[in-house]
Amino acid sequence: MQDRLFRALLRLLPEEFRSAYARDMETTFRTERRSASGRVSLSLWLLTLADIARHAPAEHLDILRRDGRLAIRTLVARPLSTAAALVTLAIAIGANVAMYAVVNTVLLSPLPYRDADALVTVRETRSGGDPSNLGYLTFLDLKAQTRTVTTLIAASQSTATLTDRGQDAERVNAMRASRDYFTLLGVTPTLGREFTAAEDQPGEARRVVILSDAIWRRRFHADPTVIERTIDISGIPFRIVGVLPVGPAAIFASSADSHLAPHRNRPPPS
Amino acid sequence: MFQVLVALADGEKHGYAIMKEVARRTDGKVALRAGTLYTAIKRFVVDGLIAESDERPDPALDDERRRYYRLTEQGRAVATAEAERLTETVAQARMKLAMPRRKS
Repeated sequence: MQDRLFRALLRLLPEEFRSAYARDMETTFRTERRSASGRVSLSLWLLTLADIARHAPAEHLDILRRDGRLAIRTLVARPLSTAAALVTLAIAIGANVAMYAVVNTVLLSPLPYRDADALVTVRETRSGGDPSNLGYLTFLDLKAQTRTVTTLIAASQSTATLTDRGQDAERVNAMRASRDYFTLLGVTPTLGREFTAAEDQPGEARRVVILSDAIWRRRFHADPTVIERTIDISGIPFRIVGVLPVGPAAIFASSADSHLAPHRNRPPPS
Repeated sequence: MFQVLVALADGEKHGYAIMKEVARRTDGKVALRAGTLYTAIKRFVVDGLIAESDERPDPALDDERRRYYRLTEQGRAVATAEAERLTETVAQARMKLAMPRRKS
């Protein structure tokens, strides 16, 4: 029993060390044990346990060091093979990192929106055709009649030209969005407000815009009094009503440098 | 681990005999345990200071599972050099401690 226990204790040591000295150590420890009386035997066990536990990490490190030295010497002696191995490794690691970045973003990471797992995209499939965006009127009908989702929002990406006074014209990505867009995604403007119901109707009231944080800082120098200023977008005056935060909204900002009020007749919903 | 080399100075010994010899010579002040002893033996074998002995005692007195170790010439030279270094260190310390204290 005690021999088996000691053999188990020796498993703390590296296999290489055990194969050379375990048998000898067992014989030595057995002799020590037999020459010790009861209380001394317990003390002998404790001291031996502490002793082996103290030396085991050093022995593992020693083997690791020797293996490392051997590997380095082998690599240095064959520079061409080493270079080929390094290039192969670099390519493999690069490919893995790139693949992981894509998989992580597309499949693993949750969308940066509130209740992201409850979001769905609604598309329309006509007989024999591929899925496509809904028409705006279909969106309005669905929104009024659907009972299976909490709410529906419409959004579409486009581009616009900012022609603010005294500054160079700038082509920016833009997004047309319906009223509940930011509420549904859980994004609250850091300045101003989101679109109101009145602004989600045809007419002059819809000429309002919410800026992304990036464009607010770049073009308006983070001016907190920017709210209610009028800017020209593609030659049409729009009133600034809000500025989005960085973070979740920055995801939108990368593809949409400003968020435009809805155009009743134009946005294909998603 | 100088004590292990000294223990082998008068002839080959197995692990347990080395332990007993070290304990006896130091009046029990140095008590080697199996882990300490065999990691030292491994290092000394690698460095060529000790070697496994091919000669075995009388089979009637021997446990064949035991391995015996002997001091190599290099090991003896290292142990001798270490003993001289220690002697010199002790001599210098004694001389220094025997000197009267200087007033600061």
